[in-house]
Formats: sequence, structure tokens, C-alpha cells
Amino acid sequence: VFVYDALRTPQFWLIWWVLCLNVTAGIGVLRQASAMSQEMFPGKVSVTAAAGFVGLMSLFNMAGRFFWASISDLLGRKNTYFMFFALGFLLYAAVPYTGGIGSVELFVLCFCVIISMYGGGFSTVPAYLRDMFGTRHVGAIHGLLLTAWSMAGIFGPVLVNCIRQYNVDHGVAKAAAYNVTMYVMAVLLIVGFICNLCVRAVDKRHHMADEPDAMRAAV
Amino acid sequence: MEVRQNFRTPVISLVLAWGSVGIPLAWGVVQTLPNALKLFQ
Repeated sequence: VFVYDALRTPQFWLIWWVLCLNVTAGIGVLRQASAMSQEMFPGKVSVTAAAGFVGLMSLFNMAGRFFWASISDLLGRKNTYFMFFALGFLLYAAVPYTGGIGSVELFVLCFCVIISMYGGGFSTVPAYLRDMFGTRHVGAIHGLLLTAWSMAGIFGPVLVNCIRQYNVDHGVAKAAAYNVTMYVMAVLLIVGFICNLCVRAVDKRHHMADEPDAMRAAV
Repeated sequence: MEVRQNFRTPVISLVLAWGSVGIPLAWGVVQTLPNALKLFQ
């Protein structure tokens, strides 16, 4: 599919939202991870341990890029994103519970898996685009799709900060101030799940002439 | 039909390439894990 034709397909914009919502959820908590871990577990998580937590998340972010992209070759891109959204929803919804019972271990486990899927979302999306649009213009299409990352890079942290600050200003304890944020993130992932569900093969009228890859992608 | 050339990358190139990535990466992991373990103490 030609790059400008790709912009006219619903598939491009659905995948744009899939990436944007996946990244919004991940980047929002990644930026706040240190403060969040200290505020949700006061006295249990020191500043040094919080720094270690951020480092651990970075390792899982990296490992997730290898793991999930490799898994997507077996499961298919769409199914892999279904896993990101379904598992992500459960884990985000579980985070307030881990804070409630004071389990640092479960909290760390939830976020490490969440952040592995954040990295996995990035590494899987080029292959998803290739499956949809073929290889001819996939570089340019991927470049355009990365605007979703830019948008999420602003939207995610701002959303997390605003909701937390609103809660703190209205008398919610700092330890519980992130609970609503986690539920909002979980809802965003449901929207992402629906967007991913709506992705279908690109209509043949958008295919370039004599483009075998595009023909195969539509099958 | 794809034609594969019988070309082997020199071992020294492989060692340099993987080393330039792997050594800083391993150093980062070694630095990170002790701090991360403090979460569970």
C-alpha cells in the first residue's frame, strides 16, 4: 500500500490508536514509577530501592521487546496486542489491590509485566504494519505511526499527574492517590482492545499494482 | 529462487560487535540488580 493511501485506511488509524493507548498506559507509569512506589509503600520502599525498581522496569522493558516480538511471530500480531490489552487490563486493575495488601512483590511483578508489554508494543508494531500494508512503504508508514508515541508521551504522564494531584487536593491519602489512575489506564486498554478488534485486512482497492506483498497481506 | 552466498562474518567482527553491545548491557544489569533486590528486603 502506498504511504498516502495507508493514511486513508481505517487500519492505519486503528493501529495508531492501538499503539497510542498501549504507550499512554506504559509511559505514564514508567515516568511516575519511582514516586509511585515510595508513596504507595511508605516506609517499605526507600529512595535507593525505588531507583532499583525503575532500573528493573527498564530491564523488563528491554526484555519485553525481544520476548513479545518473538512471540508475535507465533501468535500473530493482532493476538499479541490482544494479550497486551487483556493482560494489561487485569494487571492495572490489580495494582491498587497490591497497594491495599501492602505487597511490594506483587506490585513489582505487575509493573514488570506491564512494562514488558509497553516495550513489546513498540517492537511488534513494525511487523503489524508490514502484515497490513506490505513492505514497500512500511518505513514511511511506521514513521507516521510514531506520532502516536509522541502523543502518548505527552498524554500519559500528564494524565497520571493530573489525576494524582486531583486526588491529593481532595484529601485522598498519597498511598491511595494512584488507584483511580490505574483504573483509568485499565479503561484505556479496553478502548485499545476494541480498536485492535476492529482491525481487518486492508481493502484491495488500496493495494499498489503488481505488489505481491500487499496481495499476500490481504489474504 | 533466492540465491544464498556462502559468506561467513569474521569471528573478530562478531566478538567486537556483540562485545560493544553486550559488555555495557551486562554492566548495566549488574549495577541494577543489587538496587532492585533492596525492594524485597
